[in-house]
Amino acid sequence: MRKKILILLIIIAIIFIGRLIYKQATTSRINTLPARIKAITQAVKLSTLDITTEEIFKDTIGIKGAVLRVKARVRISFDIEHIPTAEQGDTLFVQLPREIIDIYESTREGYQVLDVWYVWIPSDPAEITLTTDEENAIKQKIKQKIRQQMYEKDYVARARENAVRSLAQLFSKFKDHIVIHDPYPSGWEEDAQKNSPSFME
Amino acid sequence: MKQIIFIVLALATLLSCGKEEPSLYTELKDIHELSLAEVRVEKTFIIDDPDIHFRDIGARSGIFVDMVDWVKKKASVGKRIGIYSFGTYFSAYINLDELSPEDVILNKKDKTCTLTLPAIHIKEWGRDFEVKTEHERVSVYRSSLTPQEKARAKDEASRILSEEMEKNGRFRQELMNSAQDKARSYFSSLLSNWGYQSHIQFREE
Repeated sequence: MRKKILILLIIIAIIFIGRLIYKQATTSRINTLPARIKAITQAVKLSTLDITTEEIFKDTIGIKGAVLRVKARVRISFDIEHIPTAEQGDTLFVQLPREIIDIYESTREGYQVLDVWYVWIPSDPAEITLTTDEENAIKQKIKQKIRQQMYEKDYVARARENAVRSLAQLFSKFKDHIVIHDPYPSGWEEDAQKNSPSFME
Repeated sequence: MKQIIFIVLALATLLSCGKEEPSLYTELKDIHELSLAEVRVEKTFIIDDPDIHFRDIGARSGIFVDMVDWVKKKASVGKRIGIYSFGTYFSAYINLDELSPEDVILNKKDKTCTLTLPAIHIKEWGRDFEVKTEHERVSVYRSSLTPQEKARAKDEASRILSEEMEKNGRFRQELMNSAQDKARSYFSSLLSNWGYQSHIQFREE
């Protein structure tokens, strides 16, 4: 009996070690080159909302379909360096500009391709993969979807509300009376189509 | 018999333990940050077959890992290499929540203003979604470079880049100096438009 248990344990140990070896053997070796720093750009931007979102996206590219898990980070900010202002007496009038939506891939587990298949033959047993160009094309579509979500989920509206508050707080340190006007509370891209006139005009 | 079943089940559970899958979520953070300078840093990563000679076994990553690499190199036919680049974005900013009323000393009579701005912080926002293919070559009899491999390699490259930038004092100093210059220029111009002569300084971190 003891001999049988010992043999079983040895077999399991061999399987375990074999699995470890196989995992090592199939893992690619990764090398990197030193980082290259591009030119620093100066700009005064007020950031009011920082969003981290992890979602599953399903899309097609050419004849292939793919499902990806994507972790994105979104920053909504406003260029206040060239913000329209006007003074009337001791009152400062400020108009909130267009929102800037920057969408980044998270630097930790940013994405994972879960499945790839031929759209017209979904039951094809062959292993199908995406080329780098196809991956990039799908990711462009994903970025557009995330951007759209920022408006649909009222995140842009929230960021604009935050910006109005932030600007009022900042400028009130220098001026007694501040009026912050937001011509497009739901977002420039959403409300601008309704052609709301600017108070600055 | 019961003992055997218990041992087998316990080991099977151990072997089947994989990496925990992250859950899907959305996190919103209201922030009040004035970003003053930004930079994009590019990183290149290479996916390649291990390049190791028999005499190097044990000298690199340990005997076991080096032996596996050597066997893999000998057993592989042809070439399989991918070289890719992507950018990561950093910004230098001040947190407006740290700006208190005491930091703004406004003298309406003399038309002067002393402004003490909060310390500048550096934040890593994220990376490009896309990768730029610098070079890719897969010989016959070799499997293609999969998206899963590229994703793992990109994560590893990101981790290395974050560490590099954390330790790069010169980069951090240049970015902070650039942010300070911009802050001085912006606030002094703003105050000048309102008729004030300004003195702008920064709090230490």
